[in-house]
Amino acid sequence: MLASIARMIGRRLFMAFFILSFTALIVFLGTEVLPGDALTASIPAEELQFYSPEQLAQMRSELGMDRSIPVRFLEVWHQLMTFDFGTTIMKKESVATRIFHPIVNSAIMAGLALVVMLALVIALGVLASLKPGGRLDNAISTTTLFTYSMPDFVVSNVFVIVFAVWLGLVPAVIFAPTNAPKLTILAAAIVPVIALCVHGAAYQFRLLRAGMVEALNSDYVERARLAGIPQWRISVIHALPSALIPMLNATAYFVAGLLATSVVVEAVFKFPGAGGELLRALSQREIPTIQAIAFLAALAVVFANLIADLAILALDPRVRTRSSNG
Amino acid sequence: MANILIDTRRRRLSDLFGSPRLRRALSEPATLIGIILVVAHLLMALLAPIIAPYDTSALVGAPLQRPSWEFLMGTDQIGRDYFSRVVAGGRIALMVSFLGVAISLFVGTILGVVAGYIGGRTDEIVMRIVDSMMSIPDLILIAILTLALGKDVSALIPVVAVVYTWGVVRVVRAKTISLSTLDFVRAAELRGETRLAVMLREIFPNLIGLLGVELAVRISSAVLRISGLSFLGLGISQPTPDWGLMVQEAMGVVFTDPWFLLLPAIMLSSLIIGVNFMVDGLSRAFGIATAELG
Repeated sequence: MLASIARMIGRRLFMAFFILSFTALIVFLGTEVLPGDALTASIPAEELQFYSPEQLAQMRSELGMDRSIPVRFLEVWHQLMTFDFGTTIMKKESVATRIFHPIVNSAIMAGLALVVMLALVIALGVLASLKPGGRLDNAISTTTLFTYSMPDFVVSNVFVIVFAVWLGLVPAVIFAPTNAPKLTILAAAIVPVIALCVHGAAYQFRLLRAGMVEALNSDYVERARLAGIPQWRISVIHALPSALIPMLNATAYFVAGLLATSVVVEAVFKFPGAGGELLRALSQREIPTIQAIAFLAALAVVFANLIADLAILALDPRVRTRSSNG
Repeated sequence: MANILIDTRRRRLSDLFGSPRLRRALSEPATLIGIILVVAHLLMALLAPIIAPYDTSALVGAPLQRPSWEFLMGTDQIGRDYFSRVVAGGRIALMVSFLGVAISLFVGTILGVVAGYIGGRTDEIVMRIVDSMMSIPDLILIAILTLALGKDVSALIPVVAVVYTWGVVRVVRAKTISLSTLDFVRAAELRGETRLAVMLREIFPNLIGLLGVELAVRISSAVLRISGLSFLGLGISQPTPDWGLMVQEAMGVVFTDPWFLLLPAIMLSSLIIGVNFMVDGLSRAFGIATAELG
């Protein structure tokens, strides 16, 4: 039993390693090999004409870009895997130092969003499943489909208009520097997190509701009902654990979506996070920074998925016995 | 006797229309509103050059005018007719999304059916690639690809195709696996039909409803992503009218003229809301599982 669980975790870790390596390859191909290269991409187009081909060739060899593609990929791969990330091409600043605070700030916001959203989704899922097809269920399902359809940048802007312009409750944009005390960052993250939840909770809610309806129709719940256990207790204690599984299976997809949305939300609220740093790096074509942030985003997704797999293992006894072949 | 028990029914396109299920779906107000919104948006996108009274990039009056009979929604910061721009603001995003999603459906269906039906090592390889691609947040993947392929509007088509293929593979593969165990597929295999024939004639026709749902959901998701990208300054650029871009431009005057922000925001939201409510209603009526919303 324990051995099979260990084997399963080992398999998942190996897959996580494979996925991250593949991600590094995609990011490398996208940023360094396709039209032009990291060097010509880093130099603004209007300045590029002042460089002679010899100068460019010399700069390339200094940066090691004249080596073959596989060698350069292995170097990038090694850097990413060891969290070294190298230095920026033009200014030679350490990428790790540059992005440390923005990444931590974004992690605070995304982590808070994750906790709030899970609590919200579970509460809504249980409420909706108390009477499937009832008025409350329909109201919650329709409302979440509606908020899910609202573009993330529209929701954020409406929040700015309502909370900052009309009500004057919070400043319209956040003026905290990236290295502000983390408590300040946490406070600044509250409104963006609500905006994230408005858009993001719906998808999770749908999966949980579907799982709840299925669980509530199963034999063991019927038995509990016949035993006279009250409905809310059946929903929370008997149905919820197995209903969480389809939702947890979609964790990777969900966290990836959350990170993508938070880039937009950060931009609207001027939150000092990794999203802003990514946009800056994209506009200045700072390849090593883009690679580092993309890789860390994928790492967050893979890590969240790993935790979700462990949670499923704890919730579903069938997976434990099946794990020898899956 | 055993022959009769073999389920050889296949779902055909003609079954989808004119059925009591469709009528039941249309009786739900949310579904009906969704369909009306989608049709209105498609008509507006198609007829935009006829509806729009002015050229979308022409400077036709003083900037930031109030709405009047001459300019139904006023003029924007540099004096372009806002109504013309709002009407045309979804065209490019819709067209790019449609073409990109069509490619991703084509490729994704082939990969998904092959992985699901052949199984084994093929399935393993395809699914590991799918898992990897889906671990990169789509916005970051799009940003990297636009960096590589350039910011031209036509470059967004392959970008959309690359981003949306993997979700299609997952959904199609899951459906293929559940179909593969059904009697009519087994019957075809026992008749000695080739794998290719089984995939094309037995499995594919049963995927059409699902693919219709996928098409609609992925297009609405792609429109959302492209406008988000334009909003961030990474997608469609000036002077092309685009709702995401218009929301971004309007942020500068949000304190004095919030309408400039709300109009394109309402247009974009109503399109996405329309698609999602339409798909939700129709797929429930036809029993197509849509756990995987775009």
